[in-house]
Amino acid sequence: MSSKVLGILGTAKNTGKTTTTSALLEIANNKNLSVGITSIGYDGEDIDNITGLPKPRIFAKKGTLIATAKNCLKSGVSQIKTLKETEISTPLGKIIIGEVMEDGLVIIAGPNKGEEISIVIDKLKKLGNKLILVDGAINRIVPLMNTDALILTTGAARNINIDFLVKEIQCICNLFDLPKINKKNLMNLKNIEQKVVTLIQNDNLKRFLRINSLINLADLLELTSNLDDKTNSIFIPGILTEFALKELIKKNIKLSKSKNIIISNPSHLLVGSNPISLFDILFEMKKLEIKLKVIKTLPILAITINPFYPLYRYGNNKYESAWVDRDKLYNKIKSIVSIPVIDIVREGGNNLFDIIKKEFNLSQK
Amino acid sequence: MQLTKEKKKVLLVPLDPVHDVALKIINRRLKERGHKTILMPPDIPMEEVVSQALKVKPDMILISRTLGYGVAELLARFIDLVEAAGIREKVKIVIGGKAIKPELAAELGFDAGYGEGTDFEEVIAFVEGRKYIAKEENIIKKKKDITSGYSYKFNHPKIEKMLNEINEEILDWCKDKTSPGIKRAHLREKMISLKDEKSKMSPCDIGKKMNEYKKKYLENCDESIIKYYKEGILPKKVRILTAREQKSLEDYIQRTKRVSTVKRIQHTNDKPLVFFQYGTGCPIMDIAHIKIGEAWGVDGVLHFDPSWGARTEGFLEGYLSHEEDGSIITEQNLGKIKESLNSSTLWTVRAHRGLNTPETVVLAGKSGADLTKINIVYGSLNAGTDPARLTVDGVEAIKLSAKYNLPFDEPTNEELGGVPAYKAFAGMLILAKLGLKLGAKPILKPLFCYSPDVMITGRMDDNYIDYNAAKIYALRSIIDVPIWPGEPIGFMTHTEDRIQSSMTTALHATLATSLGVDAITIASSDEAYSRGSISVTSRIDTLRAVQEAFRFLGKAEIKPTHKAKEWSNELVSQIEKVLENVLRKGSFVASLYDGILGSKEDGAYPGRTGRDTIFSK
Repeated sequence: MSSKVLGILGTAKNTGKTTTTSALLEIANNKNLSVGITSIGYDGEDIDNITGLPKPRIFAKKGTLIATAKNCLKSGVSQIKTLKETEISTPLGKIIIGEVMEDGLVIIAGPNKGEEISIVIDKLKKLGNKLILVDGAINRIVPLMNTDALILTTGAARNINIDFLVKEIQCICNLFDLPKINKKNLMNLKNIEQKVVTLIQNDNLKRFLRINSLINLADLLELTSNLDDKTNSIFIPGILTEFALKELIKKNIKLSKSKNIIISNPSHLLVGSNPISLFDILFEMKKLEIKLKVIKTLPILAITINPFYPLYRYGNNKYESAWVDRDKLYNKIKSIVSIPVIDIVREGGNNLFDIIKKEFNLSQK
Repeated sequence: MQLTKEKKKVLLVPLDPVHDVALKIINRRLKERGHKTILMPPDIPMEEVVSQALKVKPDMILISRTLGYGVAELLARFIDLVEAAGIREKVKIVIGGKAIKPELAAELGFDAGYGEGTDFEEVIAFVEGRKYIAKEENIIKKKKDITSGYSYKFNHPKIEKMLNEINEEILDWCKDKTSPGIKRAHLREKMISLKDEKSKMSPCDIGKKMNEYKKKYLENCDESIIKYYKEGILPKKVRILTAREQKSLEDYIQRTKRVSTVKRIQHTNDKPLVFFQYGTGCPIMDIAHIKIGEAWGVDGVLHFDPSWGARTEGFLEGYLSHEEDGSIITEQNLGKIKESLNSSTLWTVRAHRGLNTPETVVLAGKSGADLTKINIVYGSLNAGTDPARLTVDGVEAIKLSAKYNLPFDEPTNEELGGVPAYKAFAGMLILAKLGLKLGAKPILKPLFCYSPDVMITGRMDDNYIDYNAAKIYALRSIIDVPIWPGEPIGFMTHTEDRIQSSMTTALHATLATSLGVDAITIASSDEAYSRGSISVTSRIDTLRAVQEAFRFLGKAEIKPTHKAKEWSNELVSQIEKVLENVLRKGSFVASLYDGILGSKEDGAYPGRTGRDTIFSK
C-alpha cells in the first residue's frame, strides 16, 4: 500500500486546522497506523502568536515521525530523536525529520514552500509512513496542493457572518470541482517549457506571451493584444486574479467568448480573489461559454467547522474567546454542500478518520 | 544593472501606510553597501507587489507591516501569491514590524521575521547571507585596565620635587612603626594562605596553626569583635544568613549567571567607564543590584562597608547581613559577590579611611578584586581616623595594593566637608607620588561637585562646567595619570526629584566624556534622599540617563569658558603653595593635625579613632 498525504487547509487563522490535525493524529495513533506529521506553519504552541489566546496542543505518541524546524525541538515536551537533517532553512532553523521517543506534546514548524514540502513528504514516505498529515497555516493554500487530498476547515474566526461562511465554502468547493483538462491537452501543455502565458490556437500552434500571470491591466493588455478568433485556449501558469478575470469578460466579451482558460490548480485563482465575488464571475463565465479548467485539482474529503473566534477588545487592547451559534453554523453549511461536514470538537475525529480511511484505503499495521 | 553575486536586488515593500521608517533606513543602508534596491510606495495591493516582483525579479523582498486583526491572513496570502506566481523558490521574503517574531514568520511562510528593536545590521546580514553577530556578542565586554596607557610621569618638576621630599619624610617617619591594623593584615594573609597548604600540612596541623593565628588576631581586635569569635555575640543589626538564605544565595548566583546579560553603555567613545557603589547591607540584595547594573551597562562596582567598620579594630567572618547601609566585609561575603560578577565587571573594595585599611586591601586582593581605594588625607580629616594611625596603616595598605596588583583610587571627598579643591588635590598628589614610589598604581579621583567652597567663592554661579573642567586641566598639567571623577559625579547638585537627579548625573557624565576622563562613579536617582536602601529602579534611571547623555554627545565636545583655564592655573599654583607649607612644617602627619591640608575653618577635623595605637616594630 502506498503512502497517502492529507493536507489540512483553513480559510483563516483559528478555524480549527490544528484541532483537526490533532484529532486525526490521536485516532491514527490509537489505531497503530504509522503516521508522519508536518506543518507549513507553526503548530502546537500554547499561546497564539497574534491573539495571545490559548491554542490547541499537538500530542504525539512514541514512534510518530515528524518534520519540524530544529529550534522547535527544545520547545516541546516530548523527546525527539533526529533521524535526518535536511538542507531546508526556515526562520526557526533547518528542518529535521525526527522520531518521537516518548509520548508528549510537540511543536511543529515544517517547510513552507511547495517544493520543500514535496521533499519532506518524500522522506517521510521512505521511512514507511502510511498516512502523512500536513497541517496548514493561516489561510495558506498553495503549498498544500502537493498533497493527495484536503480537509477544509472554516469557522467564525474567518468571519462571524455565517451566511458569508456558507457562500465562501460553497465557492471554494466549486473551484476544487473545476473540470480537469483532457489528456490530449495536458500532453500538449506538458511540452511547454517556458512558464509563460500561452495561447493555444485552433491549429495547435502556440503563442508565448511575455507574462506568466494575469494580475492587472498591463497583463490584460498583453493578453488581449495577442488574442484572436483562432485562439482556442489560454494557459496561465502563474496567478489569475479575480480582477483580471472580471476585466477580461467585461471588456473583451467577443474575444473571450467560448474559450478555455486553463490554470495550474484552483489555488492559482483563489489566492488572487475573493471567493464570494468569484461566485458571480464564474456564473457570468458560464453564460459566455468560457470554460475554466485546471491541470490538477484535489478532492476535499470533508469540511470541519469551528464556532470559535478571537474577539478584539479595544478597551484593553486584548483578545477574548467568543463563539457563534454552533448548530446554526453546522446546519447551514451542511445544507449547502455535498461534502461531509464535521464539528470536530463536538464529534471528535472518528467519523473524519473513517472518511479518510475509505478514501485512502488505509489499513492498520 | 548587472549585479555581482554578492550584490543583491532587493524589493522593499511598506505595506503599512505609515510605519515605513525602518524600511527606509534599511533601504539607505543597502544602497550604501552597493545593493540595488527598489522601494515601493506604501499601501500597495499584494497583487501589484507580486506583479512588480515578476517584473524586476528581486533576490529579496522585504515587507514591513504592523500586525493587527486579519493581517496574518493578508501576509500569508502574499506568500501564496508569490508561490503561485512561480517565483517563491527564487526569492527570499522577509517580514518586519512590531510584534513580529521568528515563530510568527515561520507560521506566515516567510524566510525570516524581525520585530521591534531589531538591529538593522541583522537584516542586512540576512540579505547578504552572512551570519549575524549580535551587538552584545560583538562587543563581548572585556574588563578594562583603567591605568593602561599612562606614563605616570610628572609634567611639573617643581611639584614632583616637593612631593618626593614629602614622601621621603613620610616613609622615614613610618619605617619603625606598626599598628594593630597592620598586624591583623599580615595575620589575615597567613590565615587565608593556610587554606592553600592542604597538600603540605595535615588538617590537624592546619587547625592548630589557624587557632594560633586567630588568637594573635583577636589580641589586636576590639571588644565587639572578640565577643563574636568567643561568645558568638554579634554587633547590633548584624546577623548570620540562615542555612536557607545561604542556599538561596547560592541558587540566586547560579540562576542570575544563567540569565544575566551585559550591555555597553558608551556610545562612540570608550571613555569613561561607569561605576556605581553598592552596599545595601545584604549580600543577596547587593548581587541583585550588581546584576541589574550589569544588564543596564555598568562597567564596575564599588563595595561600601558600614561606617562602624572604619571605627572598629578587626573584621567579623561568615555570611553576614547588616540591617543598615553598608555591606560587611568578610572573606565569605566578598567571595560570593565576586562569584556573581560578570567577567567584564571591575570590582573595587574600598579600604581608604579606617582602622582596617591594610586588612581590607588583603581581603580585596585575596578575593579577586580589581581595584581598591586609599586616601590617608580624606580618611584622617573627614572620616574620623587618627592621622598618625592612618598614615602608618595607609603606607602599609599602599604596599599591599602593589603586592596584590590592585590600582588604588584616591577620593577627595574632604571637599564635601568644605576643604577647598586645591588642598584636597595636594593631599591626593602626595598619596599618588607615594603610591608610585611604593610600586602601586594610583588613580586620581577629583570630585565633580557643587562643594561648599565653590558655593562660597561663587565659582559655579554661572555653570557647573568651568570649575570641574579646571580640576581636570590642573591635574593633567601636573601628571599623566588616570582620572576618575567621583564619588558620585554631580555631588550636591542632586535633589529628591528623580528626574532632576538623573538629569544632573547625565549632564556631569556628558562633561566627563567630553573631558575624556577614564571613569566616573554615578549616583542612583534616589541617592540624595533614600536615607537607607537605594532602589534598583533608581539605579536604572541614572544608567539610562547616562547612556542617553553619551548618545547625545558622541564625539562632540563641551566648550568651557575661558574661566576653566584661569582656574586651572590658579589651582596649580595653590597646590604648589600647600605643598610648600607641608614642607615648611617638616612633617606630613603634623600637617594633617595642623590643618595645612584642610583646616577646621575649612570644615576638616583630624579624626580621633585609633589615636595612640601605633607602636614601634
